[in-house]
Amino acid sequence: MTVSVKSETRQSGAGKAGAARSLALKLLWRDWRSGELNILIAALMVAVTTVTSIGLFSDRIRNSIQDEAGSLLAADAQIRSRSAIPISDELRQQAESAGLATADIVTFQAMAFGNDDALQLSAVKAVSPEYPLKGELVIADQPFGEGRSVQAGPPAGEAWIISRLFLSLGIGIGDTIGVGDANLTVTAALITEPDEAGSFFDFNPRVMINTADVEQTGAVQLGSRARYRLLLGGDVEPFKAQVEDTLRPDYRWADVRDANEGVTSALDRAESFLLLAGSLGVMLAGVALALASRRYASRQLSHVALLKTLGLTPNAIARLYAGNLVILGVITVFAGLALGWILHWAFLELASGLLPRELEPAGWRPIWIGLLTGMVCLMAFAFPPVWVLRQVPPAKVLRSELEGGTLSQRMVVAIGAVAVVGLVWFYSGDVLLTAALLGGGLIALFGVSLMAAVLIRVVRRYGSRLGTTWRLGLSNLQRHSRQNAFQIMVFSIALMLLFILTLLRSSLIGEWQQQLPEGAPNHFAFNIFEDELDGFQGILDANNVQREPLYPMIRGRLTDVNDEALVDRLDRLQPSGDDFRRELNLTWSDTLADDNAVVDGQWWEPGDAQRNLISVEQDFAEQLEIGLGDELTFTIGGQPVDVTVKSIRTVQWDSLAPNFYVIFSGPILEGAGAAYITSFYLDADQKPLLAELLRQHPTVSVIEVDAIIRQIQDIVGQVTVAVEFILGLVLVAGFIVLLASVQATLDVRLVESAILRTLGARAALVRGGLWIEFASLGALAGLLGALGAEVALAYFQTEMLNLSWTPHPLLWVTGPILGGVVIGVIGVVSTRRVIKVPPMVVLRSV
Amino acid sequence: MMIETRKLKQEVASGEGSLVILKGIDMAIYAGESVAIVGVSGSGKSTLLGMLAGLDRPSSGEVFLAGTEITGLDEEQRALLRGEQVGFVFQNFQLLPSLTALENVMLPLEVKGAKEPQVRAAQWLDRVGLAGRATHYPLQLSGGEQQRVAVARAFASEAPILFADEPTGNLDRRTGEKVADLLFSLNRESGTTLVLVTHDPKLAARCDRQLEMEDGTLREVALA
Repeated sequence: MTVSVKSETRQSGAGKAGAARSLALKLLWRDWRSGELNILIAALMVAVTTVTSIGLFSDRIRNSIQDEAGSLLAADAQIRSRSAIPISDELRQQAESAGLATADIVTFQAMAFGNDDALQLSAVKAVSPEYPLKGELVIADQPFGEGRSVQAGPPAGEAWIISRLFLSLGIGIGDTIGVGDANLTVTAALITEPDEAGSFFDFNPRVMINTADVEQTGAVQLGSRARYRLLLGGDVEPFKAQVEDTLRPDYRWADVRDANEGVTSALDRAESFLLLAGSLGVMLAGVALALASRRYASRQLSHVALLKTLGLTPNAIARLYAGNLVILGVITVFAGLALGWILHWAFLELASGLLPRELEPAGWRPIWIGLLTGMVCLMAFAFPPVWVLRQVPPAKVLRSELEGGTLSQRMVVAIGAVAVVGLVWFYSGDVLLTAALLGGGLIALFGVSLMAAVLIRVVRRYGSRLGTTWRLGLSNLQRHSRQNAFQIMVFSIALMLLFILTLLRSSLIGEWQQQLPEGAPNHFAFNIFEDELDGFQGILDANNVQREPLYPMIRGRLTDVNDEALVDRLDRLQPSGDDFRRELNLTWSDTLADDNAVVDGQWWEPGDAQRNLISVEQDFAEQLEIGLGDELTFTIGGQPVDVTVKSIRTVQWDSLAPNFYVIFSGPILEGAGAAYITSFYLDADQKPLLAELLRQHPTVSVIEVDAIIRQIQDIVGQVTVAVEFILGLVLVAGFIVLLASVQATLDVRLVESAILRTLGARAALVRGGLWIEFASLGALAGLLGALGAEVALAYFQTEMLNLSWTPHPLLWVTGPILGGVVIGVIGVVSTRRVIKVPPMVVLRSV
Repeated sequence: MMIETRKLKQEVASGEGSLVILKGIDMAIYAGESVAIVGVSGSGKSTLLGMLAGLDRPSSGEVFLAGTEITGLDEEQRALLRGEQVGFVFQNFQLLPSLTALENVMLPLEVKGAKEPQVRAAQWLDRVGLAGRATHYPLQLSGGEQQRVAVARAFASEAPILFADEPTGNLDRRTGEKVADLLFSLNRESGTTLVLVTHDPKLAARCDRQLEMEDGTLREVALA
């Protein structure tokens, strides 16, 4: 009798395929019902849920922050002209044809005239009717009155001026104000402009007019110091890419990132953190998935062998299991996406009290990323062990010790590592971060497994003197030392990641809150002259107003560095940052402010006040390549002043205290012509004090930044909520890894415990032994996790997040305890079956 | 001829050099025969069974199963051949714990893509006296019942050759006898070729022929 194998397949191919699929689904359904797939599903779900909700959450927060920060620009981006040349119409048309909204701003200085010959040099801001494209313009019907939000600036023929200008010009609403040669009607008091931040150091009081009236003022002529801005609204990125390289050298692109340093750095750090947290979450979930899949596959080995004896071909086996995994994966991934969405939504609902307002919607990208993450995890972590099931030798039904159809641990780690690296690269687009994560991961992997083996040995030697239960528990530890070393590695990496995130979160949030503590200055006052100092200080101090010191300030221009004209130096160095040609605010001070730190050279020593020494801000020094001992020449009040650099300082620009690029060691030109500046904090109740202050000192200029500070605090609040939320998710992922890892060795432990019980061991002994084994594992892992976390934190804090390094002594205590308790509980709860169920049942079922 | 081997050899690498398990075995089993392979533990009985059934590949030599030389086939083709030609009963039953008794019997029918697998499986379950246990899971059945399900599964595929590896090895004496009775009576009714590995002389004695494995060689035991 001859069998034609091929023709047989052809005859009933379709029927077979159908039957095999229904069999596969039946097996899948049963495995699912028996809980066999729980960890696998949970791990995949967590990976997708974490990434999706992080994505949705941070997308929405980012969009909101962008939106909020955008309001600081009154637009999504601006093109600024550094010279007194209007922005070309060509550029405006390009922007408009790219679908962007546009508006214009022209700023210039002009004399404002009021009643009784009162006059005041003022900072005029002329805006086109489209202004502002973003943010709120607030005006009031009376000076210092209650503000209301309006959609556009003043119409032609009208002017809005800030409250204190009413006082100094002696005019009221409805009066005429002269702006240069133009006569305009004052129709409102200007309370806040969205893009106020950019005008921090416009010292003169603001007059807002319509661009249509600019010509009439006669103040903007060839050579005058007018500045032009083209405001852009909409999706500005494509347009930026289109024009950035061809922008004229005296045009500068400014977008949300430039709008406010404080916001930007908080946002950058938050993004780094979220990215890190998300990647770690996926890594954890990947490990859990790989462990769960390996366990699932190893429990299928004998079934696969049987199915093969029944005539199922290797290809059919592969199709069966791969097909099941794909079905399971797709369902789980979609469930994960849905759960991710629900979680982020529920969390936002819960946190709605903490969030300032409705968040902007998220885009589709988080969903795609979640989907991709799910598929990559499925393929890289879950698929390999299942795919090789096709290689299980059918003779395994006769001899269970036959090997084949399993992947080596090395292979599993290799595939997983490639996937993790790929994902991190994909999330971050940052080769350096990816490499750091890979390198750190490998070092952790080898270092930890080596140390785990050593620790197990040490604990075994010294712990066994403690009694029977201890001896039993610790001998378990030693007996599976290879497996346990692997498990400690998984535990400790999971714990390490959790420690890192928890501590990073604390230092991040702490740092942010420190940056803008309650009572941070929210008003700047300047143009305070020598004879007004006492009176001004007196009012603030009498009302218990928190304030910064008063700094003398004088304007000066840097002309030479080491006998090289600044103009030549700028041509040579092409610094990217500020306009160094403009006048600088210079001060002198004998004490170093709290938010400054000398990083090179020395702060003043006695006698320095008489020598012409300066301290230069670090970024400024770097841009102009200025170092210690360099000779600089300033022109101050028309006179050249030669100075030597004695120190380089860092400055915390977002502290809202007055800060300076250049500080002199003693009075500049004997203090002639200096006016003082300070900043102070007024809460809402103290606000009327401002009117009082200005009535008594009408020449003092005050800028209110409380609105901006509120915005920044809102942003920090949002980011904090995001960080907390994502940390929670990563904790869940870590927990699932621990669970999966305990489950992975559950069978062996169940059998051993069952054998012990058949030998007459009391339940208490078995349970105690398991407690000790798992708790020791956890404590060792906690110790290693603490070590790893300390090292990694030092790196992250200093290199990635630009925070300062601090050791975490408490971690070394809580790490092992936490590890011992958590893993002890998971272990004992997972193995409780062995105590409750008769040993025979355990032995038969495993 | 249903099964034939020519110079069947099996060597495995071990600590010191290689270990020869099968030393060039020539044998033939005819259609409808029942043959016992006996021998002490570790004599290579199960290895030989694996080779005959195409579960494993020999180091050298040929195996003809139902006329097809199978050592040259790849695993894919051998699996298809097993599905058509071979049924199995194992010492440790090898039922899938997640499937009911009925579903376990349906397995080979579904793998073959047979029609009405449920009806035919139910009939076979009935023939081994377990119609009332169809919806029970293996863990809910006694050892004897589990092996009867396995016997039903082996015959359900209606394969011409049945391999049994110590089918009563995990059962107590009385239950083992019952299962053996069932196995032989069904074998007679279906006219299958039965190859049975056992070290139980009583079970071996119920076969038409006995072959004894000893030190990697096979010899015919003369029946009294």
